[in-house]
Amino acid sequence: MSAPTTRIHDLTKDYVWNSTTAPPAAVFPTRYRVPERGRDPFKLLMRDYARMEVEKDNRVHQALDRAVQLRSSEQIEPRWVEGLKLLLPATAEAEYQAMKGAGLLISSIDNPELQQGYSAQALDEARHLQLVGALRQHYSRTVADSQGLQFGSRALSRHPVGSVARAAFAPNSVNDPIDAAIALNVVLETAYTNPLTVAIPPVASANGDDAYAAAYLSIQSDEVRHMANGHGTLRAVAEIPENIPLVQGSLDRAFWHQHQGSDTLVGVASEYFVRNRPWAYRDAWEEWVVDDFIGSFSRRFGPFGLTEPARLGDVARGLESQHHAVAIGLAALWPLNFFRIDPLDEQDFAWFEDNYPGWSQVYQPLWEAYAALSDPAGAHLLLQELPAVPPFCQVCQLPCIVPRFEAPEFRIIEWSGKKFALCSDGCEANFAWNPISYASYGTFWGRYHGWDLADVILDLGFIRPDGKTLVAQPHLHEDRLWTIDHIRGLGVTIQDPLAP
Amino acid sequence: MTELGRLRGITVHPFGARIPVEPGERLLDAILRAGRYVPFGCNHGGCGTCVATVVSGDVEQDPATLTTLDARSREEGRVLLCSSQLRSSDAEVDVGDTGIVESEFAGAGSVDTTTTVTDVLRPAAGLFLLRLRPPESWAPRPGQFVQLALPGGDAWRSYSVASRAESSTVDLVIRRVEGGVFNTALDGLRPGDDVRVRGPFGAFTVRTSHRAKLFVGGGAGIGPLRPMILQTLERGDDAPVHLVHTGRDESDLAFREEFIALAEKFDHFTYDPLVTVGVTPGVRGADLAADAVDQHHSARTLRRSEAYLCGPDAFVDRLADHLITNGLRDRYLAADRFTASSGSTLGVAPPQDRKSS
Amino acid sequence: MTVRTVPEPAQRGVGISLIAGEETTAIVAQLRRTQPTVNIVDRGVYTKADAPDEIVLDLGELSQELGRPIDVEDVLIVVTSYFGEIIPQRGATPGTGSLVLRADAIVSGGTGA
Repeated sequence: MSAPTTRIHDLTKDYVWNSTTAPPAAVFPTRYRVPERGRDPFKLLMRDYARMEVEKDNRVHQALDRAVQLRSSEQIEPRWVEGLKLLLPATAEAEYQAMKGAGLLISSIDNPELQQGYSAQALDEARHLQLVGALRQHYSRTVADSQGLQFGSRALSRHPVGSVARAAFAPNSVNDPIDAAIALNVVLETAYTNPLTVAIPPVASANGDDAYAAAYLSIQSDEVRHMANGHGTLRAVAEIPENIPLVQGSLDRAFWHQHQGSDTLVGVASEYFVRNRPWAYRDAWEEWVVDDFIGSFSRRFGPFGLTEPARLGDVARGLESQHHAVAIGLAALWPLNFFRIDPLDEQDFAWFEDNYPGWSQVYQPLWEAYAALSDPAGAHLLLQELPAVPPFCQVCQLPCIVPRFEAPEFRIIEWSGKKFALCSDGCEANFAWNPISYASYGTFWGRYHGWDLADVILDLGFIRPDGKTLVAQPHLHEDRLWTIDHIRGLGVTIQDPLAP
Repeated sequence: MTELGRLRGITVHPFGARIPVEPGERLLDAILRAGRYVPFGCNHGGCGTCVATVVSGDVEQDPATLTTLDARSREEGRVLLCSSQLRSSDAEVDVGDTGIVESEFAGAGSVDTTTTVTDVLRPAAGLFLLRLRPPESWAPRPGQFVQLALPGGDAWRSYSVASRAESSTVDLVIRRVEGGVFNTALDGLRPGDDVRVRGPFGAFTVRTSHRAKLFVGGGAGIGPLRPMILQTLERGDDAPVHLVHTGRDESDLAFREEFIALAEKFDHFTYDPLVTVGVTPGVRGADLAADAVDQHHSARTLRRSEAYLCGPDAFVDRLADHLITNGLRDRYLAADRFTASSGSTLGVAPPQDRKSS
Repeated sequence: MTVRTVPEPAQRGVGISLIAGEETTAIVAQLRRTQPTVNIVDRGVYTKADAPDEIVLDLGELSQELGRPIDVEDVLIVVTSYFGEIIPQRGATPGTGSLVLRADAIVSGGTGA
């Protein structure tokens, strides 16, 4: 007779080198007191883990094979394919930072049971990277215009809005370990992965793409254990009263940061890169983030003295308009993109006005102008209508046209003799908490100050195989494509709005 | 078999819980005495809330409840726990039909104890304000209710808690019905008397959210709303909070002065006290409340709000329909309701489940 | 005299989202049968179930229904998300035990999670 699973799980914990024998290398020291308690409710053994994950992978790959056999990629709404070009590398960035974060936690938290939970998590994050890679390969082989998919994470690090993903996910691995656990396992994986990986699959499905649903729902099924890891860690830390103000501050900052990044990316992808919209992002956010996450969090952690994130009201306000502002911003900066943006039509206008009353007044004229300028024969960009390009927020990396395009709330601050743009109170508070880490990040406009727009695009490398046609286009047609010569003919020079 | 298993008693499914039953004891009392909980209403076989199915054993149903439980239900083995007794030494009953979940059944976080009356006030002809000393380990969430048994009677009644957990008294607002058995008992109650109380129970509680909150209370329905409003205002954000409060006359509006003072203190709190006296005959409190809602809220604001209703059945139904028709999402509608019970047979509204995606 | 009747709960304290497939079909059938107050919404590629206080999945029943032993890990393959506390209760033999979700923290000595 074999020993019961939980007994084996206990035994495995005796076979580790703990910090008394080999101190872990503390990359980032923690401000928290971390008790040795803290449990992994799943008490997972590697053999059970492996069996489960193999079955999950089989199911995803079967779904991808089926999609290839049925040639179902031909049915995918072309707008959605363009959105995937942004969503896939953004997800990969999240998984990469999460894998680093899990490693940080394994080496920082002196608790064998949580370490085992985080070990499985590190393996999960690697699995997710592979799944995102498999999806990218799947679409690359099967969609009509795969241009842009090939750049992967390289595009993200060079694209102005790609930095939003990097900024949102870096605190999950470059941080005080407990702050990282709160940012990664509590705020990102318990709250914000739900819109991306559970709420979006029906959107993908409604736009003809079942492969996304199969892979992302399977990815999220691993987050179930990560949520439990985060809960176990938070519960342990919250039992020491002196930790509570630190936990609250950490939660407040992480929630704001994740909102700026995830809400914006998911809102833009799910509303502006589709034709069929099963829900408005604002409503999906209310369900998954407010009702499920915050509702459950307050009920379980209220008794410890923790409250809902401080800027919930501001976040809710942002949900009305922020992703609309960033979407038109992305459209205005389209030559810098590695994907195409389809102009909106009357049907889209009606949907947006229905779901976001007041939208038409601000955004419809801008989208009409964008559509009117989509032909290279017009030789004009929406960008040229702006008096100056908006600076990017030093913290969240969004263009400073948020939360409302018509009423941005940014401020320019000086720190250590340099000027920085911050888009909001929330980002200013985050900057103030750790200015060194944010100030060291270079700005997109700063890098290209004084360059011709055509040279910027060439430097980014977002050019089709003919060497002159842009990957980005302001429409989804096969003709009337913009080339680098069209752009050079405009004579647009980049001016860093923060240049002295 | 455990020691308990050999005692006279019932097993309650779907939880498989073994409950000892005293000779002559009603099954509901046995369950509650064991610190467990099942939903119940009138407590005398009149409403049908505490229905259960006998799986095995001999359970005798009080024949006076024929109108609540028809012959067919009886044939199918249905009983009302509040008015049935154990005849065999052992029986199994299933309470799955009440919709109760295990944590509710376990009565988690609740107390069952005797406490002292500190005050019996009659702010209006139609209202009692009963104040009790808080029991040990008293920690209700705003909006929850307790059950109360008065001295000399085995009748239990459920009342929402109108005070905060940290308040020095447990306040219960009770609508007075002339000639009611419980009313007569309340009339005889004096400070210093003992009453038995158990609870708190219930999931009618405030969501933690950024949404504007609309509270509508009819008469004694203001009870649970008061601590919910206090909690919401203390949270410190500035999302609008609106209270529509109806009564026959001003004295019928319990805590009116307090709400007026709160409206002066908090810019984002609006208080609408409404009375039916002097209004066109036939216009009811619910109509006035619906008008007040219309004056303050458009479809656009209602779509971004959540609402908490408490009052008599008809009042709650009328406002729930009005709010949903005018743009409130059903997901964000919560209601607590009470049904008049003077001992006669009453129909039972099924638990309303308006929740959807 | 006034009596409260069944309230409409304001909050759903627990919830679970399940990837469409045979396990989920069996779980949904079990929930509908044993816990009628659980609110279930089918969204095509996944189904979401939520409840005020508790959701219990009985692995023994699921094993019978699906004709093979279902353990915690077999359910977790299709659990894409949840909220509340998750409490796996492994059975003594394969295909038994339960997966419990609760709204409130279980306060018990020695358990940090």
